[in-house]
Amino acid sequence: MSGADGFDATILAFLRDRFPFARQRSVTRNDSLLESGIVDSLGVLELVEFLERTFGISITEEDLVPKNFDSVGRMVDLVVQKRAGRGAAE
Amino acid sequence: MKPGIGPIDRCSMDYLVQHLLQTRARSDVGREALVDGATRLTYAELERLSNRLGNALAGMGIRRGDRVATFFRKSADEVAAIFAILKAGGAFVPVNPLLLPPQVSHILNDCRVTAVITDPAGLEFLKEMFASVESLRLVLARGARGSSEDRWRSVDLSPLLAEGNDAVPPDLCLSIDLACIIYTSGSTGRSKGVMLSHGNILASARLGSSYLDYRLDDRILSILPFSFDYGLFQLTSAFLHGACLVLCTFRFPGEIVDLLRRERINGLGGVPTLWSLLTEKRSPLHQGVLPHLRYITNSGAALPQAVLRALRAALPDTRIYLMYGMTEAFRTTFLPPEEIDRRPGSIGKPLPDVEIYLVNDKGEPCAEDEIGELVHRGPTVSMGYWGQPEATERMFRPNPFAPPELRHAERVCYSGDLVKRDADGFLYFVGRRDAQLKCSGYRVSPTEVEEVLYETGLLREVAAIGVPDELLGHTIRVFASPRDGREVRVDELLDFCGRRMPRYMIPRRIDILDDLPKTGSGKINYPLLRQRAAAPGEPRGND
Repeated sequence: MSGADGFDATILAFLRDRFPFARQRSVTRNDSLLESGIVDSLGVLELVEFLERTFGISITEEDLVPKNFDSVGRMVDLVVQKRAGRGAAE
Repeated sequence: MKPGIGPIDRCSMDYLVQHLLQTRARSDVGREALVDGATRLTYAELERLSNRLGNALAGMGIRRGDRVATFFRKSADEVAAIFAILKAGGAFVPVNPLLLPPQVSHILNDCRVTAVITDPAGLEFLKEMFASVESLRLVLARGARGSSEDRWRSVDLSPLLAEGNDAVPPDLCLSIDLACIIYTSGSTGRSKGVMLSHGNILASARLGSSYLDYRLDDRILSILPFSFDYGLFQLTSAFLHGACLVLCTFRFPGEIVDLLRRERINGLGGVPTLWSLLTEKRSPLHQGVLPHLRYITNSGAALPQAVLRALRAALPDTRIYLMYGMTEAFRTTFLPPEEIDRRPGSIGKPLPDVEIYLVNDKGEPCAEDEIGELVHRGPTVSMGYWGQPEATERMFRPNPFAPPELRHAERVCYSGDLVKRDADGFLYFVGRRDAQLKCSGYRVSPTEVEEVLYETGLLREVAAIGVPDELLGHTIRVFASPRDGREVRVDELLDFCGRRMPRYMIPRRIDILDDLPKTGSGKINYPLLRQRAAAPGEPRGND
């Protein structure tokens, strides 16, 4: 199992736990979360806090755009990119 | 409703909600009324769309007094639909798009809707549930295929808006007739429909906007749903003053700030959760210059002082009005910006044409600083709850301070809110008389949460309580005991909740206990559970 697969499962588990529509529609990696209304504005903030806490990254205002949050896959990309950036900076 | 003998003409009098639009369409033909993404409609265009759809609805059998529900994510179509329903003589029932099919089914059945107007996503989401609504005959949505189900048929909304009979439909109602039913929760059971007359809605638009200094050409941002009394008020007050309403759905604070700047918004209404999002540390509100934003208004729940401070720091030139109201009496008090520092935590004073009594347990007027129930008197006191005479009599009672000869003539609204006043007559919210909660600005009845959990069939006892939360108002916490000593998993309960209730109602934490603590008389000891939930170090969630 690669690292990104692990991220997938972690984020999916959180989504299914906290977002009723995600349970109802058995969301997968590439399903749109924002357009479908699965995640609302408060939900985005919860997701941001979850990603920061779980993956030890810092999400900035520039990151807060739909393309980074519209699917589990996109969030994994954001986390991977943030962690790589942090590694390079250290 | 059987028709009596009516007038020849309305003679330029605005006494129905749709007259607001008609009058503007006649006097300000080219003025912009509504912006929805790339769609921009003038008053005249919106009037034409709603005439067409109104005539079409009447042609399809919608009659005076029929209830027609709307279920939309913010869109210009919803505004056209609301006015079309009124023009056909019907009452519109705006349904919160966050609700799940079980709650929507309750609403549609409770007020026996004849028709539902929705968007394509709403049609897909609710389609299976419609079978449970016996009164339903028609479902209108863009792209609907025109199929016939058992009782109802679907009709494509697009051609009905594209062309048709553009004549203004004749007025069928009076100002005292039902115009709208808004569903909201009390302290127990399922949501109840608050009946608003045309007169209630017009009065609220007038008195609720009287102090906001509306100017012609004002642009108002509409984020709150029309299923929420304040969201509906923004629509009617904008049209009363000839302002333009810009519709907004958003996921990120940046999207709102962008729209505020791009659309040169002058007024913005919100609830505490929205302000918390907007002042969140990553929000661009802190760097933004918004010279057009003249005022913002808060309603729905008290604004935490910390959020208020952050808003004032980010928007030093914007006036901040704190409002207080409840659906049953539509709009009640406001605190003017210049009083915010002098009277922190105050909900202000009554709006024009509103009178407030504070009544103590003996039924007498409260003294200064004495806590009592807020009682609202005035033209926005609603018609009561649809189909619920007992609940209506509890909340809407004769004016206790009128002379005996007048007492039967009028109903005042007992809010259930406990309030006190200072020496200058400014009011302060203290708490609720009952167990009703506010979650993300929505009223939630704890017993409704309990009932959903009982439906699992896995639990013997369930107690839902509210836990105060800075961002959300309240979050729900549940204590439950299993039936027949079976093992119950918290995640299967949460899974069930996720399928049956909107997100703001879902318990943040569930504790399974062998037995719930009881009072001497054998009832569940709620005060003890509340104490336990408030104990320091108690976790907020199950994760």
